[in-house]
Amino acid sequence: MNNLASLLERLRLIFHEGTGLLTDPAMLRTFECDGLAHHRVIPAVVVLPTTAEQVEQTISICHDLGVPFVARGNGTGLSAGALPVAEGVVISLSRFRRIIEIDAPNMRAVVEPGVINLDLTKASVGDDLYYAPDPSSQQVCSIGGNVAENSGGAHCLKYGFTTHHITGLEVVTPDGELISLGAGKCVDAPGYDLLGAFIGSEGTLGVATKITTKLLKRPELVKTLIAAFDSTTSAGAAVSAIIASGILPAAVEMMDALAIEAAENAVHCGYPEGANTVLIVELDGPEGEVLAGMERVEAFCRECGAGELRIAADDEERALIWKGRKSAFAAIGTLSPDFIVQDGVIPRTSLPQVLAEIAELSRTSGIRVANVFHAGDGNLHPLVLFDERIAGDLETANAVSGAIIDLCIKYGGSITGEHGVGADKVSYMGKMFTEADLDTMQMVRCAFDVDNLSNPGKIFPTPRLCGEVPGRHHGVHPLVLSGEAELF
Amino acid sequence: MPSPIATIDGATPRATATPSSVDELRTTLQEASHSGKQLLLAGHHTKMDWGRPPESVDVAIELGALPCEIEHWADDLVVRATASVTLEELQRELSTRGQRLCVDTLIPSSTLGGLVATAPSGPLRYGYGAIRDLLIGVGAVRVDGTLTRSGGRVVKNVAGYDLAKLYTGSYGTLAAVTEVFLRLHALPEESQYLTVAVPIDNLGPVVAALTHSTVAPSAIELHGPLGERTLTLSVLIEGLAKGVPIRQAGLERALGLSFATSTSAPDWWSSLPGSTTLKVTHEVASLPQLVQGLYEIADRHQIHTELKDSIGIGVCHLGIDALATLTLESAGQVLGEIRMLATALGGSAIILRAPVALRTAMDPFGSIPALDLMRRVKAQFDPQQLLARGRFVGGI
Repeated sequence: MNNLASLLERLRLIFHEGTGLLTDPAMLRTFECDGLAHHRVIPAVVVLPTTAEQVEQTISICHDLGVPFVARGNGTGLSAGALPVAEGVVISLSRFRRIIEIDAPNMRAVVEPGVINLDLTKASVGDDLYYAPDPSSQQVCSIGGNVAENSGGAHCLKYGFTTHHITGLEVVTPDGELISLGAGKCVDAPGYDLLGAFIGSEGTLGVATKITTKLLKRPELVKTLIAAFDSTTSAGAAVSAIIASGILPAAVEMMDALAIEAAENAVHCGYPEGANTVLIVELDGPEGEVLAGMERVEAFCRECGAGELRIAADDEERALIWKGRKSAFAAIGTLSPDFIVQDGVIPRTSLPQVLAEIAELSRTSGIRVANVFHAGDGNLHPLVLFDERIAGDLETANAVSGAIIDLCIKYGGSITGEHGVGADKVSYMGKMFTEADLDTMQMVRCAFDVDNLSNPGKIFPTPRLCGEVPGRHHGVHPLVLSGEAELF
Repeated sequence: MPSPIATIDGATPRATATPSSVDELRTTLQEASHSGKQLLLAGHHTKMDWGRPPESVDVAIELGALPCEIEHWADDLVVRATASVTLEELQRELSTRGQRLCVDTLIPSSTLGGLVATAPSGPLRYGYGAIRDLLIGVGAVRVDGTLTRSGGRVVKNVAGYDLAKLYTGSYGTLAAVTEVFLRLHALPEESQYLTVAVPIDNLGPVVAALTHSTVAPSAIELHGPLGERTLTLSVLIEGLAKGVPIRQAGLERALGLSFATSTSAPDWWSSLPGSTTLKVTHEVASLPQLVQGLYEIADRHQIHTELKDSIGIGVCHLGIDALATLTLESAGQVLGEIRMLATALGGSAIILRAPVALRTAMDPFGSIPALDLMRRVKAQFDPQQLLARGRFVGGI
């Protein structure tokens, strides 16, 4: 019996074919990519567990047979982090999605990994609480996926990333053992902070089956300002003035003319007409603090040359401002048939130089670039526009997109602020980190996953053979030689 | 820097190395690991009575002599500092630009390397996070002498594994941290400490009102000796001058209490109680049960206990110096009762610091879930188990 046949035979003991276990090629195809659709691989099998026991059994079987597996939430990732392995299993967690508990007195929730991010906040509203990390895809993305990617969102400037909001995980390790990481509803479990290492490891250290999150009290007051500027430079100066004054906004977002045009086309968000750049600044917290802070934010914007400036009068107006921003990626489709969403980070103060260099890249290549940023923390999301039907356009767009990431590295930033490395950016890891850095990270991988079965091919350009002497690779890597891995 | 370590938990290191550069440190580690020497990394020796006694030490490596460097990118609210810089030196430098690292100076003269290695939990954690949350990048030398980095100088960054978290609180058993990149905050325009006495029978509603208030305090601390049935509650409100009085009034309304105010912290604020100190974690809302349970244990064993709880975080420090004077059997019984209480409230209890006899006779860390996996991590980073062998959880 070959490996696939024995895999299927054992999986059929756990899952019903057609509902919990998919082998039909047409069904498998729907799992061939995540939100980054130009990376595609059809997996051998898809399973849809609804219990931790099923995840544990699936991974144990994979471990026994040496079959790679890829965990997938709702497939909204933008780095091909959930890209399947052709001979492997995709563990789709989208049906494993109960909110187990909202523990208002302890300000915690316990959820299964497939729970949609926004659903947790909706479930907490009655207790006047919310779940803080809010990636733009929060209406569809899963909390399990957020854990894998250490997702951020517009409000992470003040409230931090997923890693700051998870206190405990139940995890199935790549050898099929169900364990607890972290401290449940408490903090500071004695021992190594494996919880911290696991969050953001992009599914390479195992699969989370239960997640304990913090919940925060809803702020007393939220105020959102939108201001028009004649350039990204003057808007950037306003951001610097706000931050330097000691005000920590909940969010600071910037969009340039092309991004504004796209958002207006798509969702009619009513941004200031003719603006070259818009700045969105949101303050939240105690009323006295927010009102006093907003007076200053307004003054800084005016000093830096803001034209039209308004503060959302109610929740509806605020929602419209955010709708324009959060729909920006999809809205680009109204301007261009194809586009690449880039995700890089620079020190915030380098913004003027980096934007000038991006404009130059755009000018010399003839490729349009729309810019959307989390301006408070220097996280850029340039949208590189192209038309696949035009010969050479994709290649040029890829080159521009890559050059933008090179700029992020040159200015001391990062190749990804929130989308993750996935399969998409493995080739950039060697530019940001030394071989020794990557080797050290993979020591953690080796502690969890000796056989390199959990989401292989992600994050690291070259897999490390666990047990080899660190830092010494000669000739062709043995995994490459054996055909088990590919050099990117 | 202080004079080299003479003894560690009663054992005398056979040699001391005092590298004056990262390159020298790399060579030292490389040579020592090549010859299989047992090593102990030390900074300013402020937490030598933390953790289990190391099994043996051939070479104490003094990291306090490494160069002190601070690179402050004030407009980015980020700093790079070498591990030998003390928290006080760093704060002095940052304050010249109106900024700070939101970490409490619980133990004077601690180096940043020592802070990362032991990750003490202080009051400001409520408003700004723990050191693990503010550490955005780290440079470290592995036991084989390899220099390695993770993270970087930007706050938002998900490239690669977050090794900074792994090193934080690892008691120097994985690598020698040589530099840190930290997220900073602006100094607040105004700070007010609001203090009031709270009867322990009234803690439940006070904790609920505080943790669910919209006033957004920076810290909420409860302190006092357990012998009395009243403890001191102190809340730190920081922010814009205009907002602070309004927030104070809001908190008084929510709690139905009237506070005494001061712009300076109570004298117990930035310290750990006692010289034998336990760290007990618990679910936030279970504080009343914890306090009641501890009160009963202290009463039953007639031991003086000083309590300091970070409300809203669920970290409680207990100063129980009497533990060191009891018979080991009685001390073990007290610790066992506290551990049972903490476990029932979802948390754990560890001996944070104590005289060597106590840390030898009983495991400071107790039972550890996922210990096998931790051993595997240790085996990857330090296959010969040379760094502080025996000092950490489960004898790692």
